[in-house]
Amino acid sequence: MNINETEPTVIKVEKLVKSYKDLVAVNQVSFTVKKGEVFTLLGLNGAGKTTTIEILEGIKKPDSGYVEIFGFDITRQPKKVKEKIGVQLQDTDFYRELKVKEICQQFANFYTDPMSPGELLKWVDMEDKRDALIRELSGGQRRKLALALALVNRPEIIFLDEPTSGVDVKIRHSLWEMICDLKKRGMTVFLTTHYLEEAESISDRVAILHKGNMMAIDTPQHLIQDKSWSINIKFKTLNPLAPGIITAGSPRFGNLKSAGGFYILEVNEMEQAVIDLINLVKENKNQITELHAEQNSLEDIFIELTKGD
Amino acid sequence: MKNLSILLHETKLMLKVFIRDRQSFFWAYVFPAGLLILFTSLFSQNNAAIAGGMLVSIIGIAVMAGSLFGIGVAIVTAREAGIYKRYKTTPLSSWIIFASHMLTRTITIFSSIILLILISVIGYGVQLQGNIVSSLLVIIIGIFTFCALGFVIASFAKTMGAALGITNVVFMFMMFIGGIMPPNMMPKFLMKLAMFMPITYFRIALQGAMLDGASIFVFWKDILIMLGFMVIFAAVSIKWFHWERTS
Repeated sequence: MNINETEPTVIKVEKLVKSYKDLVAVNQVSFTVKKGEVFTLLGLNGAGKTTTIEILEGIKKPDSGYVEIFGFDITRQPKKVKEKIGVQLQDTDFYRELKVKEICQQFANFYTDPMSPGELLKWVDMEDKRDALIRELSGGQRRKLALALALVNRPEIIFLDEPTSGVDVKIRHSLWEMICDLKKRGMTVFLTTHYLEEAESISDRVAILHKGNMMAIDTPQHLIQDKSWSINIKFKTLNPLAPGIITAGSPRFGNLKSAGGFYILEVNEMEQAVIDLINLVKENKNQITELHAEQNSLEDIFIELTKGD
Repeated sequence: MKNLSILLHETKLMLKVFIRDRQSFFWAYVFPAGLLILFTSLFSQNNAAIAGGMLVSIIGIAVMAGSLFGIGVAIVTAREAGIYKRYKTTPLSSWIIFASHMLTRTITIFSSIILLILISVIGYGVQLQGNIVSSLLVIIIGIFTFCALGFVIASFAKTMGAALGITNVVFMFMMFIGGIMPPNMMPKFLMKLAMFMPITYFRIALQGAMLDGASIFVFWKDILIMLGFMVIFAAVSIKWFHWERTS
């Protein structure tokens, strides 16, 4: 999963700023992406994900800061960049009166070494739709076509802005399989998504944006492990616990809360903390009747980093 | 060469969009042909000269409708769908998108004019003794002027509904005051209002070129005023027009 540190940097973003009137959409954001990496931008609605990705795609101009893709400045040499990137926008449509194969051929014409409509449609399993008009396609099929068109120029980096939002579960799974396939082929994938579990499973690194600010960038595993109290022990006791005895009972214990009939104890190390807890409860003439221990997920980290102003 | 090939391919696709879209087809062919048949049948009294005047008026309307609806409404619709935004992520230059729209409109409007001429010549015995070069020049200046007005509408209309509403008002207003109603039948204030509309000068120039066979130098003032309108519309569009949706 981890990307080789020796791979060259293909995207370099430095102190990017973009405002809309009084709203600062992106505030001093910096990061780099290595070749072959799957890099995911996470954030709530309005976090600045789409603004950031659209600056990288050459659609929007930043107020200040610098974006370099393959060594080319996106604001000064946009055509050089656009030849080598593939893009799927969050909400794009096509001329509804055109056929699928005509749209594929149209986009192929924009580039020097394009894939043929047949190759593209085979990849998204839509060969039977080549003569269908765009208006005859379902929302999910249009999304698959948009993903296919992002590959028409055999790009080295593909930008996908919420590729699976608003589609049914079946299409969502098939889109994620396609994205996994891109990753296997060694393509650099830059994506934004709302689906944290999918981001956790596919991404080499994730960046969490909140109100235009970069809150964290790392591998999903490091983000989770770096949290001081990264494990939750959920347990029930025979009798209610006396307040205060648990949190003071071991240096491995963090906060204790209760929810759904369980006590939930944050701990920083699993095995010894469980032993400490069992002993402590016994010493207090009580008994544990049920116990589960679980590692925090990316979702927990995300919620924690995006909860404040 | 690559750009020229892309331009031709884009124009071909735009023509396919036009042919497969019922609304475009209606405004380009059915509406002007219907108007021509209606007005000529009602008012020409089998007089080929009056029918010729009708033909010129309806050609003026066809040029205006094709340009305003073909540019204003069509561009806002495509912009709303995010089509141009997607193009912006490709190496495609925006001048190609602009040129393909203009080329498509020119082709569809000329095809509409040919249909109107055929109806008048075959159906009502109109004899065209016009100056072909002058007529072509006037029509092309007309297309460019009204397309520029279409870009002005697309500059300010944020949604397809707004674009359709504005275009309908502008179109109907100009059609009745400057396009169909004979100037001698109009009240004075409407005559004055018509002086501020490009369709008035377009009709005068078109009549001179198509019916009287006059050279473009005979009605140079009307041509100059139309070019003036075109420059103003183009300047406003250059300042305010945008290919992407405003958020």
